[in-house]
Amino acid sequence: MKCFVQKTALLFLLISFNLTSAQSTGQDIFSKTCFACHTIGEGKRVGPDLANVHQRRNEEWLIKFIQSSNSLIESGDSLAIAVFEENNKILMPDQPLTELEAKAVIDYISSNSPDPNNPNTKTPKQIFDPTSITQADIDRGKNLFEGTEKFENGGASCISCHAVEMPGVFNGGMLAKDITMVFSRMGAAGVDAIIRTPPFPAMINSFGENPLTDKEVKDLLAFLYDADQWNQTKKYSGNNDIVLIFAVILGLNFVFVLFLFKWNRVKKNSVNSFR
Amino acid sequence: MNAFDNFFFIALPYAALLMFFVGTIYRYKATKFKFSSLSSQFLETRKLYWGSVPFHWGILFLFFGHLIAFLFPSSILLWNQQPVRLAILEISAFVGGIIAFVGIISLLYRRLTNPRIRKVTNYMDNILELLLIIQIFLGLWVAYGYRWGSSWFASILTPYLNSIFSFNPNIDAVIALPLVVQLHIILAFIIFMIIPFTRLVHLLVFPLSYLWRPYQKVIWNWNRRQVRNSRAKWNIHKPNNT
Repeated sequence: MKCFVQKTALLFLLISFNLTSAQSTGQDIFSKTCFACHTIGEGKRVGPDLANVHQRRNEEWLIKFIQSSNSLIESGDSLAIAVFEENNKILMPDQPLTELEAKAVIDYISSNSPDPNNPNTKTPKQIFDPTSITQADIDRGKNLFEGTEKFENGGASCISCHAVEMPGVFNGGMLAKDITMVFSRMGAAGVDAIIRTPPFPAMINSFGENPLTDKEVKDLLAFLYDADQWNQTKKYSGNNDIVLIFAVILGLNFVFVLFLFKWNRVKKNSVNSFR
Repeated sequence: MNAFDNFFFIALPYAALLMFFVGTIYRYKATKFKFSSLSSQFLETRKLYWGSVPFHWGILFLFFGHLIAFLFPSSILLWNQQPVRLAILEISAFVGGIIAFVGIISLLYRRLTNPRIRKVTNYMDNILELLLIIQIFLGLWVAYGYRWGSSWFASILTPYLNSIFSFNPNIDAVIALPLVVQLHIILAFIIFMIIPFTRLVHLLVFPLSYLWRPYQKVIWNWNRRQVRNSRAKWNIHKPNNT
């Protein structure tokens, strides 16, 4: 009997521990991975407002979409394709979450959603005002982007992985998206949120523990806004790849001349020649 | 997909490390005198020079580049702060990649076509050279298609490798990388794993002075064919090695 009581107590303890941890994981995951693009009841950011999403879609579909929206869209799911089309054709990055973790996020969203009978009309608060930016902000933003000015809290420069195509900006990285027109695609609120709380694992690695300061985010936004504006009217065709390829060919020539020079001083025959 | 990711990015590196250490000790104990890359310069010289020299200069530059990015990531980020320096680093690394690629291809060609070299070639030599060709090709692809690798290596792959070595693997960032980069990583583990069972063991006994010492060649002092010819007059004198 005593053993049974002990076991039950332990079971309850475990369950209650699990419940609390599920709740905190839901919040944790939401703020780390969803928050950059989604709000709960504060309007559309990059992706849709998730308020009461659990009533609009069934849980099984939501879990599939969270884990890999990509494969759901590829499988031809009409609902998933509709979401993709409605949101500027921006693909939601696949999230490496287990079913339990995805459920925890959905629970967090449902318990924090506003009353469905009182639909939301709010828009996310604007942090960026294009009229207030100065040329100095844009220049500093460019320096931060290219890496000539270091981020105060460390972390790799944007150019390591991203490109902005515009005269005067060095060839960008190609590991991640070209962000020349990111302002048109995601809007100021979206870009701001992604820089502050990146949902992409590679960006979390770089900036998760070294967040950007407010001023840095503001200057980067100014630079990206400027690039977006420039590209809306003009087309940048200065493809600098040619310069890189030319430099590589030049380098190869140089190295092979060195090898040739050395080759002249190497004994060619396998028998020592008598002199 | 998750099981695949776990296998390739957690299980494989640990298996590779284990096989590397155990295999190296075993190989050293079992076949001590074969713990080298059998030189074939004596059998064929010209093609060896044009394969081996470019390959080794290229691969050494790249190997130490990867090693420095892993050990001192902030030094690479500091260097890359100026776009011009970034370009210089990436272009020289790409040149290194190409000479290594050209070198290893001509080495494999030499190995497959020269009858003397075929006699001293074993099974693993061919496999290793094929793997290296694929690996360097993937590396060039990554360098061209997914730049700037020198910068993002320091902020994506260094933390991943650190997490492996500190026995707390974190593969979130690696599984989000493009497939070509993932293949380059996986193949690197596989090559690391087979080091003890191939001619690659020579890099464990590699005397560092090879890097700056003069080019060494083995040659016959006396022309053996001439010596063996019974009708030829004895006109061979003590060689003059100047």
